[in-house]
Amino acid sequence: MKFLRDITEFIFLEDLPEKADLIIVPGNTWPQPARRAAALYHEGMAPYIVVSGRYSKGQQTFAGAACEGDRYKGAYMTEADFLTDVLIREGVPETAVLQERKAEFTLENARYIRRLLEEKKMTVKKALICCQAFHARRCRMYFEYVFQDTDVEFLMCPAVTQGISRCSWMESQKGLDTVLGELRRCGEQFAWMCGHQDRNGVPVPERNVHQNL
Amino acid sequence: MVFLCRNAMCIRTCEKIINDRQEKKVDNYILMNDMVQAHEERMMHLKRYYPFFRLMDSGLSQYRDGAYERLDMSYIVLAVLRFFIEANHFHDQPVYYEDYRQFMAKLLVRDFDFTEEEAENDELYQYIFDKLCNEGRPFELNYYDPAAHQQKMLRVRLIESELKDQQVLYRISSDAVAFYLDTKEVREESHISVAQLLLEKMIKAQNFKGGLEVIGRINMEVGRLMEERHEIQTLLNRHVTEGLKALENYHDRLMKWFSEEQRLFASNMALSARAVQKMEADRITGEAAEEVHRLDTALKNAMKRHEELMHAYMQMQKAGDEALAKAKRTRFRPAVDLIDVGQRMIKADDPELLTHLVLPLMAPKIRKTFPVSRVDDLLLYKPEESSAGEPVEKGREQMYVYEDEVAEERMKDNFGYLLRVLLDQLKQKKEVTLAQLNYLYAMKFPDQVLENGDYYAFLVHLSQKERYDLDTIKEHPDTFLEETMSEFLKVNPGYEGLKFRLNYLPDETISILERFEMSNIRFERTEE
Repeated sequence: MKFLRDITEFIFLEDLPEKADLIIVPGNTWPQPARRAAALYHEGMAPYIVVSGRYSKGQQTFAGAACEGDRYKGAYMTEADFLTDVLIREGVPETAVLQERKAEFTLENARYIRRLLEEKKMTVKKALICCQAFHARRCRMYFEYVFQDTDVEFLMCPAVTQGISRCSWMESQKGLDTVLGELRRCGEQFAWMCGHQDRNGVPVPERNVHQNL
Repeated sequence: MVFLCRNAMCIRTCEKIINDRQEKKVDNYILMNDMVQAHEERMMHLKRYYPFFRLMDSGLSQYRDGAYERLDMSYIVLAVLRFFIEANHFHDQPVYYEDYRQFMAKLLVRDFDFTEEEAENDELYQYIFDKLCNEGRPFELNYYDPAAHQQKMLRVRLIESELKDQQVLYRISSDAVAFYLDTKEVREESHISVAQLLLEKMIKAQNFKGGLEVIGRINMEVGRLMEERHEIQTLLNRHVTEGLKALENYHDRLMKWFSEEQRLFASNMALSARAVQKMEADRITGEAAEEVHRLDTALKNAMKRHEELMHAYMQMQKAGDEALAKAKRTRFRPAVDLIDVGQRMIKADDPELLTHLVLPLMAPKIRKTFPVSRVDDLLLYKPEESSAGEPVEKGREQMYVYEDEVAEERMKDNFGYLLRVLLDQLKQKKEVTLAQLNYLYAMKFPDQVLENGDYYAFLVHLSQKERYDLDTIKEHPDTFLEETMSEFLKVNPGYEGLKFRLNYLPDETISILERFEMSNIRFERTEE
């Protein structure tokens, strides 16, 4: 059905990887995106990998790896620590990994990474983002939003997690909830970025529209 | 049909003509039923044998210019099947390729006098295994179904496989087990007795036409046994020991049923006679009466043939005894001299040899006893309800979907996904390489995509041609992949006019998951 394909094409983004200045792994509890980043690093696509994230908003601690718990059973304080461990196990040298350990949601991932890059005075023209496959659209939206005044190009190189891929998301309730949730959040949060709503979804006066962009 | 005749002689002639015609009609009905209606059932049974004869036919004569022609494929097939039955059914374990390889190595050394070095031949084992598995495809037997007036296909596999925990497990198919057992069938029931019981039911139900058909079957079986008897007789004349062995087998399989068959014949004769008496008492005439008479006559003839068979068998047994006596007279009688055996044991100084004398004395007790006090228990015994039997309703014929059809459907689906990525890239760019495509496949689909057999099958199929014109393919596909492409293009517009070619880059190697390597390919969009 065409509408399903349209939703799929909107949510799931994959770009051909190209040589870049760094690879970004936004915070999450799944090892697959970090493994994708490690593979790209070994292919020589970028000299650095930035891992970002504290733990999800609303949680008090990092809850542990979402899968393969017997492999990743370190005492991780943050998502960034967990992702670093995945990278090191995949053979990425510690010196190539940069950590940002404060972000609690994707927009903060983008903001704090930008701050980190500025602090380290790193010039970035192109970055590869390795996130969860269904998160690619929203991820790109936030990073382009935060870096809108720069000329950084973001290429999405996601990894399939939780069995939710472009060809299977409509086959399970979990897949439907996740992808349609992403679709809804893209709309809501874009409206917030345009200034039509505040972060809680409450409409704001017309005169303030576009102030966020 | 009415015959107008003036004298009695002519009337009798006309009656005879009518009777003959009706008999012919019945015979014709039985003949047609056996030929046409039962054909599909026969083919279903025959399909189990088909792979064996295909394998025997191809054999190993084509392999390495016939260097291994001395290996008998029929023995190898049966031996491997027995090996699988041992593992799968007796030990409830799957077979791994390595198990098969080790089994074959031992078999070639033991049964074909291979040296240990010769038996280190993985390529040969793989070749034979591929033949047994028919390279993953089922053996296909095409036949014409005269009842449905159409060509049909039966599929059968000897060995099934499945992927579990990254390992391929093999199991013998049910058809192969049935085939293996069929090759040394132990008849536990006489065909004639079964037919007699059926005949009894038919007569009781006054289905005399059906009864005639059953008698036809009895005659066929008696004829077959007669023929077999003749073959054994010939064998006895030529080779006494082989003939006696065949005679013993003939007796074990068939003659033990003889008295039972005779009893049933007598019982059915009585039934038939009663039917004739009743009909005459009721003064029933016409076609029904003709049927009863025909059945009665046919049954008498069948019984006569059956008695002739018995007589012939007795003659043959007598001939067998004589042949044996003659053979014995001309040979040294093998004898056991216990004193001599004892002395030889002492000479050999091996007390273990005594076991040959003692073991038979320790044989299991063959006389069974039953305490009389338990007769009451026996008479009062009530079978459990569960053994009373379960009513079976008439089932509905299901549409079968064969495993290879499921696999074909899955491959088409997966090829569609892989194809879309390639064509989308070619729509956007002038060229794309396989290495780049692999990135996209790994990102778009779960990581295992590059370990998936369908991915490699897709590449193999794709590499069959160097150029692809999607408009032509859509209308005139000529390979399996093009058929899939055609179906894909018909439901996914937007790729009209797209043409591309494959340039192989043998110098560029792509490593996949650090386990596989393949050379790169550049896919180029072309205008012509």
